[in-house]
Amino acid sequence: MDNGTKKYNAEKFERVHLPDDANEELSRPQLSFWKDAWIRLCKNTGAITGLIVIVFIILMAFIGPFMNDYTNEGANYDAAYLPPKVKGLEAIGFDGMQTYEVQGATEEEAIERGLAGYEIEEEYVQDTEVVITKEESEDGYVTVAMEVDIYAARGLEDQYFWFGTDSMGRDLWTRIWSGTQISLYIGFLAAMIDMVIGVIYGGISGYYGGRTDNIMQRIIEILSGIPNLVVVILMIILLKPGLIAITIALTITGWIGMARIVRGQVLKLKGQEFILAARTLGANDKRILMKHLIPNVTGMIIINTMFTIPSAIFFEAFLSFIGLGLQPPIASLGTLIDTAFDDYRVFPYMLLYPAVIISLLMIGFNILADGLRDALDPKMRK
Amino acid sequence: MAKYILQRLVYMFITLFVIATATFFLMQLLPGSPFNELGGKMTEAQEQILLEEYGLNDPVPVQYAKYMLGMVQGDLGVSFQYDNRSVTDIILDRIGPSAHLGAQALIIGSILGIILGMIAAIRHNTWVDYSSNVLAVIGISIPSFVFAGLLQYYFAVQWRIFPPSFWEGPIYTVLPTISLLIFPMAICARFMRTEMLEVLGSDYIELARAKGVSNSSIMFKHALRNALIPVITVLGPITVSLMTGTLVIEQIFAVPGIGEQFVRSISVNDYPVIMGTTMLFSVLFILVILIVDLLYGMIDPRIRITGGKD
Repeated sequence: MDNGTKKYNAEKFERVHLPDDANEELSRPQLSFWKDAWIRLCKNTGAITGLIVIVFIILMAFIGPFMNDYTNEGANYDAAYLPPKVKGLEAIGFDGMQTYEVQGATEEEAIERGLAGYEIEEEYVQDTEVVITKEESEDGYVTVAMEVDIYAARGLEDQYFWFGTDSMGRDLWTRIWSGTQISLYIGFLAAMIDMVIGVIYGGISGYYGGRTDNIMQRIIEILSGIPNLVVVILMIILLKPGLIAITIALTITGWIGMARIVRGQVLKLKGQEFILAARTLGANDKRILMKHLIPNVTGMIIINTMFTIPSAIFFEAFLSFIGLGLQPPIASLGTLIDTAFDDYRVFPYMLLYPAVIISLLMIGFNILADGLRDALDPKMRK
Repeated sequence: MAKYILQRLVYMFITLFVIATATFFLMQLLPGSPFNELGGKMTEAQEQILLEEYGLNDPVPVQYAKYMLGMVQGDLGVSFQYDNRSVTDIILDRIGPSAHLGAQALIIGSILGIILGMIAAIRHNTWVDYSSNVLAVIGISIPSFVFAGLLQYYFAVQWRIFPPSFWEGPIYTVLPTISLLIFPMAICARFMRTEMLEVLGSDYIELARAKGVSNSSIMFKHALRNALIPVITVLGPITVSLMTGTLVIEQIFAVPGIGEQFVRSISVNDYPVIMGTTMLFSVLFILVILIVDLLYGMIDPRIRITGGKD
């Protein structure tokens, strides 16, 4: 016998009296499924970061356009192609300096040509630097980088365009945030419509089964063979390119994935005992579908919707990029990126900001969707 | 199996028929005629001659019948834009660069993705895993044209390492290929990681470990092989992304491919080319889906293909 047992023998312990029902008490507060999922989501740093990014961008999309006095419309060619300039942030690059690359036979000639070409007085040139010397170049020209205080050259020293201006002198800060509004609208609207159609279609198909299901599934089979891209492009060509055309086009095939998921889930669930119990108690089809089946599929519906949003945002941007999306003067992130491509070699800021915002938005939605999938469906967590 | 394949083929043809019909009638509803561009420079009589020449004055059903009949024979009509060049010709002419880019992006992208996903799964919950996850999310999220723009700006304009555009040799394919392969890579990496983790947690891997099989043998002989099978299913989304990708990437890098042609045809109402390319994309997509389903059933005997889904 070792020391331990000798030291703690039965006499030394006293029985604590417990009320009889104490064993039945739950040691932790009871959590509903949604509370539990929320706690799981909060533990996921990535998903919360995504949520914060999305909330920030949504807020900025609505506040941003009112944060300065510039408007989205109207051209002011004096202020065209101004680089970003922010009061107080001059030191970290937001100084309104524009660098032009100019070519000439000699350094002097290059600068001279640059001044003439961009209509700039010499006094505003801050700095010049030879990027490619005559010896290095293939065509025998000197390339000079010329830094110009373009705000001063245009006589706009007191103006601050935080994200710069576009080819028509419109403030990009205002345009980018109102463009973000449109991207967000597309994302949410497409998600809403496809959620409604997809859930109802899938629910009916799965619940009624038999011939209804058969016909509805054959329709899906045919529709799903048509690439989304093709339908969207055809719809856009038919309707006038614009917001409505994109919305309609997105919902024509977007709901198929959702319908399939809901149908699969409903098929699985409808054979279970709780549905039988509900039917025995006299619940009608509508009640069973709405009160018993759909709530049990909600998790899957939310997850799928969250993945629909970024893909809709991408699709709008993509369509605008190939010229089938929104038409100017309306801005969306896609059209801004598209127009920026024309001159981004000289004015990279025009591409940079909308590109960063759309990327952040897409990343935010994708990681939030991943997090939600893990939180709502622990079985799928991998 | 034979019955299943036959059934799938029937659906394939119905789908193609629906697409062809829908495309045809949508094109009929389009505003403007293909000769709008020349508006004003052409007299009424000249326009009539042109419309007659291309069969655009025929009643719609006649045009439709002609179109469908031609399609069955592989004749997609004649382009309005280029003097009497047949659409089939234009497509064949332009499919080279697109196929080249697509194949390059698909092969390199999926191999990189599979390696990345595998490493992430083996080093589960380490920084390797996390950074590969971050990479995958970024790859899935960032639109290809944004990525292409950044690549072009830094690698071609700023650092002058690669040519910024055109199509004159292997070096010209580097930037477009990288822009295109990001999505396949990311989606493969993600899928591979998930599958690999699941396989690594299964009983037969446990058994192999218990038997004393070496770690590398477990990874390559047992886990990798089984994890690779479901990765075939991502071919569908990848095909779609490659088709979408060619439209924008070819524009950005001025690649004389089918996507660039398609976008241009849309802007000049060149109906036959639009319809032809649409059909090509659809056939490609449907074929890939069919191949994926068949391959999946053949490789993995656990998946029993039966006639219906239920």
